[in-house]
Amino acid sequence: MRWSRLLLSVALPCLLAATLHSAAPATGQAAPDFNLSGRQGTLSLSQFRGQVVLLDFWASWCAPCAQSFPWLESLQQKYHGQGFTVLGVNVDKDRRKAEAFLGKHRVSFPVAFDPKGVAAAAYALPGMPSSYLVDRTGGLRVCHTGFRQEEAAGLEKALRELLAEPAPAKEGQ
Amino acid sequence: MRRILPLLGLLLLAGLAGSGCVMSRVQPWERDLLAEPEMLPVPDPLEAGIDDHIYFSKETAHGGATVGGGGCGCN
Repeated sequence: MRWSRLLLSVALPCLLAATLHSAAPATGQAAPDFNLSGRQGTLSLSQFRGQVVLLDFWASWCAPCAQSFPWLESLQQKYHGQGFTVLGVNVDKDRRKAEAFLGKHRVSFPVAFDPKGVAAAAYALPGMPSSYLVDRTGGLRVCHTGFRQEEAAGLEKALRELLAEPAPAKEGQ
Repeated sequence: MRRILPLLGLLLLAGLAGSGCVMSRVQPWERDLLAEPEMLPVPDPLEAGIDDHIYFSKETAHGGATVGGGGCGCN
């Protein structure tokens, strides 16, 4: 009897912790917004409303992230003029490591810093890197984990499709 | 009082064990130092490759040893 009670008192908090774990957002839903510090002031996802956003979670310790950076930068160069931006979210705990990485892999797209993993938890990243395509209305359209060169073309195609979608009506629609 | 003390100890133990559960899982974005090559069980790539090969051919495991294991969880 006493043992079953002990078991209960151990198992219940565990179960509770498991259920409290935030679920990953699904495509078709609104992409979770966040407010993080960037290199020039605060960055949020909602400030890019009206643009197609490729949200990319990366870290300095993640090897495929380094592989993906030239590709991300090429997308930024190619489509930036058409209402598109890459938004990088760094999940390094130590900002200096992130800055060192950015010194080595120079990019022109905005990078936000999420040392506490707030945004990462909101998206419940299944792996690193994780990237998300967000449409002009702020809806989550494509979730992608990892970076493989052969999958890049497919993502670029999805991005072009989102860019081709008509822009939403102006504010207060 | 004598009777209550062990019970209190048990409760404390259960509480500690319970709170330990919350910390048990490192999320993919939290790997940080754990993702460093030094954290691999076998840091030498050649030796690790040999180990992997033997493990894989003996166990016919699910796609090798790194699935869901070290690195960044992306392969």
